[in-house]
Amino acid sequence: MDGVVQLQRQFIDYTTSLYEEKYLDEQFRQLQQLQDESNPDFVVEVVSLFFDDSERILNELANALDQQSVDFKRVDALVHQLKGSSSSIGAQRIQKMCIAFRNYCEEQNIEGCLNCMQQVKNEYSLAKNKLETLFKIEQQILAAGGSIPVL
Amino acid sequence: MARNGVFSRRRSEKIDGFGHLSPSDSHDVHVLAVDDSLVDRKVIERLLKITSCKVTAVDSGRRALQFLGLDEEKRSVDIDDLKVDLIITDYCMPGMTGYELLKKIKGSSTFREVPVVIMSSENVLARIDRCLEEGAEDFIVKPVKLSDVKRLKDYMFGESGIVVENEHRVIQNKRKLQDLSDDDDASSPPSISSFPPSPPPSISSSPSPSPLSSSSPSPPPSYSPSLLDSPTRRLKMTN
Repeated sequence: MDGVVQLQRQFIDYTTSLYEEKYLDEQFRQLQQLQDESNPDFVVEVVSLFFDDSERILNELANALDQQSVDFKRVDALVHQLKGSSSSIGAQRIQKMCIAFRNYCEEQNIEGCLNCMQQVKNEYSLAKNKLETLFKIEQQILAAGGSIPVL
Repeated sequence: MARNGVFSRRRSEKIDGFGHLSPSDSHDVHVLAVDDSLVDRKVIERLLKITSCKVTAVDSGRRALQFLGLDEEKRSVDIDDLKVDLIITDYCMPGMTGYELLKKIKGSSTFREVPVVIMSSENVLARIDRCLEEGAEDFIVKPVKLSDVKRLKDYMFGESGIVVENEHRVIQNKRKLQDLSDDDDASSPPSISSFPPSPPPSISSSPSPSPLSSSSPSPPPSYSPSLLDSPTRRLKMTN
């Protein structure tokens, strides 16, 4: 079926670009390995948890950075959480941004922190869009009766 | 889960039985996983289940102690029914850290023989050493991979559990008696595939059962490959 083949090609190209552009790293592949017939939605489930958790963290971060006297320890603790979870799903760019963010926390550099905050939010939005797109292509392949290529 | 003769004998011949809970032939390895991160809990739970372990995942050290019945204020299970074969815990957690949890477990007569593995996103030598000194069996650098969990299960509860207590005792004693040596020829436990294996000092490598020493049946410590690849880590390994 041409439709399926095209979709599969799209999937392969898209996935490859995500790895090349470092939106995703090896850990994402690890998660895919954990998905099987008994747990067919594992990756989507974990990533959804990641989205929810990240949004919570980003809100708390915005709040913490908005204070008169910023509690850098708290900011750092929140960024550490985000770094951990992004690392666990293979969201490399977010993880790297968190590392830079934590450095500014250590320096108690508010400008640096605010800057990183913005960048982390951007990276998160990008990653979210990209992953949602990826999942959409997967759904389309399955709906068309095809199977998802393993990369 | 299939077990070879040596493994069974090792488990049943524990001499100083401090209530060590070992997996019987009739049930799966039961792991207590402790991590405050929801994402990480989901991942570790899946990693463990896919390697045929039973999993109880909790979000804090406090809850872990409650589950084990070690929390003075609250008990959740009757200890007699509880069989935890392995505890795997995150290091950085609010409230009680994994290190503090480790100390509490090692300080408990009921659970001190249960192997405890620490996970951390931070590859800090001092942290690793501290945990191992306190009795942690292993230290895994996050993100945790399937190969980490397979290796863990394999050397603790599987075929390669042939590596007997002798080596563990040698390593434990050496660690207690002296600082970690700078010996670059440090041997590594045979279970690490990414590390060039050199034969451990006092073990017969024959597959036939060797006489057991009278120590608690715990597997030798080993380190996740990412640690071994670091030259600093290699320098600090004991033999």
